Amino acid sequence: MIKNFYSKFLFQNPKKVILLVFILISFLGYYATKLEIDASSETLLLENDKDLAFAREVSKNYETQDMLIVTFTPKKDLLSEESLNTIKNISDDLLKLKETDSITSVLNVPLLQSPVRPISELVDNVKTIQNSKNIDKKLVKKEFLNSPLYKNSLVSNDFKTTAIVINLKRENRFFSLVEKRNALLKKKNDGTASKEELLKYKKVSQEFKQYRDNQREENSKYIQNVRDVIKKYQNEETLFLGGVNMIATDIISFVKNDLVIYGTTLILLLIAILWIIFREIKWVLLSVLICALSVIATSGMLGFFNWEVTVISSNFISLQLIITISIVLHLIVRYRELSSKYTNSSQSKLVLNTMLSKFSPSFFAIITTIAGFGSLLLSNIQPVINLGWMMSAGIAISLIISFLVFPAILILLRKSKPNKSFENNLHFIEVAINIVKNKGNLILIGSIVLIIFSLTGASKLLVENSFISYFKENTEIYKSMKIIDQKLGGTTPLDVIINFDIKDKNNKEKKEETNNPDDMLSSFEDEFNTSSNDAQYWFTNYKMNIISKVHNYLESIKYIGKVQSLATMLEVGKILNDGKDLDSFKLALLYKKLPQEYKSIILDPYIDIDKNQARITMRIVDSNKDLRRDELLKQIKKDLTKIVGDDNVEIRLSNLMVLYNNMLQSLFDSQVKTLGFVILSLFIMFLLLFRSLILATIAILANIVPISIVFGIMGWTGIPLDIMTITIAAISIGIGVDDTIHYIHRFKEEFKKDHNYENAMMRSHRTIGFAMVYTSVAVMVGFSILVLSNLIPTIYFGLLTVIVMATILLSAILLLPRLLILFKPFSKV
Amino acid sequence: MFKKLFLIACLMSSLFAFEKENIQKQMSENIHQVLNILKNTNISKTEKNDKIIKIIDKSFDYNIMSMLVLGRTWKTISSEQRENFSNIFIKRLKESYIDKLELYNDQKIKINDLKENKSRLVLNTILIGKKENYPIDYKFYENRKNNQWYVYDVNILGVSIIQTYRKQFDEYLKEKTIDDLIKYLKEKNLKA
Repeated sequence: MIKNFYSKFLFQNPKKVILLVFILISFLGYYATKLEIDASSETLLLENDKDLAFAREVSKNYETQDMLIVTFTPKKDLLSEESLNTIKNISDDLLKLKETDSITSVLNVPLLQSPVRPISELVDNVKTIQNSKNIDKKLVKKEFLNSPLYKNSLVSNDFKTTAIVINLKRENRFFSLVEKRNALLKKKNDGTASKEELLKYKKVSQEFKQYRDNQREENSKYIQNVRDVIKKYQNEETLFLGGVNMIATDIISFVKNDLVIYGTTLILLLIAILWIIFREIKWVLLSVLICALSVIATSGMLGFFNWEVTVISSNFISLQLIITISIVLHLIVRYRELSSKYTNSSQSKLVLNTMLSKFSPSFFAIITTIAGFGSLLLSNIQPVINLGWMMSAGIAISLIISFLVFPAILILLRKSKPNKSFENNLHFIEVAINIVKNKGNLILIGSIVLIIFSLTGASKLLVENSFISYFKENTEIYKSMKIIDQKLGGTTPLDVIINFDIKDKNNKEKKEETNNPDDMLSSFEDEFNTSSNDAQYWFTNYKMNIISKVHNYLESIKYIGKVQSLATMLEVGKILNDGKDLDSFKLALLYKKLPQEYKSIILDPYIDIDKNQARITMRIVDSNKDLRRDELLKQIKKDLTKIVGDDNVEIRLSNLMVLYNNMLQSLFDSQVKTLGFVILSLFIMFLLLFRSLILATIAILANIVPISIVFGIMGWTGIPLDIMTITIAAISIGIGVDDTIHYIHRFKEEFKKDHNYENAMMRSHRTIGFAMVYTSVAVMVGFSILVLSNLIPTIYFGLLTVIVMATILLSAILLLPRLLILFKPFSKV
Repeated sequence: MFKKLFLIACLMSSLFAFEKENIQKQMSENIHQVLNILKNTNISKTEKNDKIIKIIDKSFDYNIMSMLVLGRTWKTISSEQRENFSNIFIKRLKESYIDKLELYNDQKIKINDLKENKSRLVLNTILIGKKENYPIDYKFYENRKNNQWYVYDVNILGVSIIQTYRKQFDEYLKEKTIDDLIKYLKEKNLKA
């Protein structure tokens, strides 16, 4: 059938086929311009994560605001007129931007201890640097450095750096859209949604996406504007911009940069390599054309289906280039082999034989690669699932385009004698043959050493996701994050939510009541019960003790930066109250008397009286190399359960720290599962393909051994498995199987000729071996360019891919043939 | 401000039990008596405290206050526990008051009319501050046995002293026993 397709259709109408492919791809090319990149933290979260719903609820209840932080390190003293003026000017400029809600800086925070005054006076007249003419700068400095409110958060401990916090306007629409969508999604998943509701769900989802797209654009414009403001003052002082919002924007711009720069550089490098190998312009042009068409078609398809490129899938162009070039190189090498062997054959015969002999191995290589990427669909994480779909679809597109365009163009060209100068000078293949023939044990020992290296390394593997380590030390985002992280109280936010009074013991008490009703007491009971739920009576010793002990515990952990809660205010209150704790009565009075303006700063973020709940917020020091996030969260949960064991409360952790950790743990779990699934499904496919248990085992071994090196290297060098590096193993398997399939397929063909293993090996090496070397070298050189990226995970990705490709090649031309010779799986053929 | 308000609450409670028609008049007399004790620089701190406590003792109905702060729990505990609790709680209440008295400085107080609320009486007074005035309500109930009126609660700026204790003890007793509470208050008194 395939033969008929080529000889009767494609070879007859090559121009029509090319035209058709071009039309289809230009259609997709239009959609390629609509390809979107979304690196927001939102894309990394697990949509069905209960903790996410909880975190959103917390964020809504406590009306949390997004914020950016400008770190300011003046040359002069922090409280000098000049420095304060600069802060004032920067704040004024930032307030002119419409997304800015307010600015918090040393200028406008209340001074409570400069000097210490009775609470009554403080409440009547709050002093700030900005609103007071005569301030005692020595006292102010002392307060900033020692006050539980400001130390290690508003100013650094060396008093050289201060934070200018930009509070962004709250996006209520985001929450209303999420709520609407989730309510409908729940119905949809329950199967209780009506047709109308399904339509509405679709509409709301689109609206939400649209909203996020707009938001993303506005956010990036806003950050650019903030940066412009900062630039104005940069000459005189040291200023950096940081904050969670900025991480996303910077990652997006880095990813975009990488896509453009590495996509094009990769192609240029491939051109150079192709020229060095083949010394014929047609092979270079043909390869580049097919690669370009494949990438455009896939990008177009992503744009058409509205699949967004995320941090995780940002490597898809490079990946697709590798796979496409591998298909094309195998075709070219095969064609050149046939054309130098059968010098008298016609072009159509050569092309037909090339296509037919390569169809089956290429098809199976692609199918197994799809199985590798398809395994990603088993993960729970949308961007990873998307990467699975993207790559599976992309590879299929590459296969189709290669098998249409390659023969269609080649048939139009005249036959030429291949320039084999490179092959003739490449001694590598002969060296490999020699090793397989004469030093077989060395290969086996080497493989065992490699396995030991990998297993010991894998046992040291870390699953950590540190945003700060995504960036190079010379980038602005790294510098700002380091300052905020180490000097101004940490980076990743974590909340502890305390729900008080979870058991209702009223029933028990009622039963215990004696049958001796005291009328007078009952009438008093009624009187007090009517007002017992008034907000001011919420501040009981019991609650304050719990909040304080949880707060103190969290503050004692070295990985935690700034901790803030009602306990911070209690501590300040104690300072103002001559060192005595504020009792419940004073707290109640304070609550009644405090103006809303200050309530919203010191109480609202930390307590929810209606819900009978308190919130303790903190930031984790992301740059601490010893930090083990999952362990830390588990430890906190365990310790807190012990600390409040008898207190009739429920403790729950929340915010980004928990969400990222959930995502990473789930990614890791799914990795373990999918890796198992990939190996099993590959084994089954090898069994189907080769119809031999020994052969399938050999093929699997030849893949597992080189790929395990990824884990070995990562474990031994301390590169953590994070949201980027975690996909490398699946990708490596996807790429690695190709060599195995092509080689075994060829070996089988060669073995049929004389039933001699060594001869078959030598012939295979001298033919398909070259294609394998070329493919690997092209990919390795191409990927080495990624080390120039600004994103550290991309650099790791590049380096590890280069190493894996090298080991896969070595395994395919050393270990695989050695195992074939050793186990002689074809003896019955 | 709170310290001062607290002080006034303490002052106002330093009254004798009243007959209904005398409450208002006696309040203003007695308050000046207490203020004079405080202003007197010739006597020691301990003497001052003792004198004031004597006045408080007669005007406050501690038994009813002890009952009220425990609410329904009062009915479930033994008479021995009631006695233990009352002793320790009264001590705590007094010490807390004395603590605040030390911070007193000049303040003016305006005493408004007595209002009747069901079977209780509420006397509204105003503490006149520099910028703002602060309402302080004294709540009286009638002891049917001797037909005298006693203070059973004070509301400062709408915050009831008894309610504040009630809420605390209620929460405490959800997880712990009355004996734990007595022990806890004893420890607190020792620390104070």
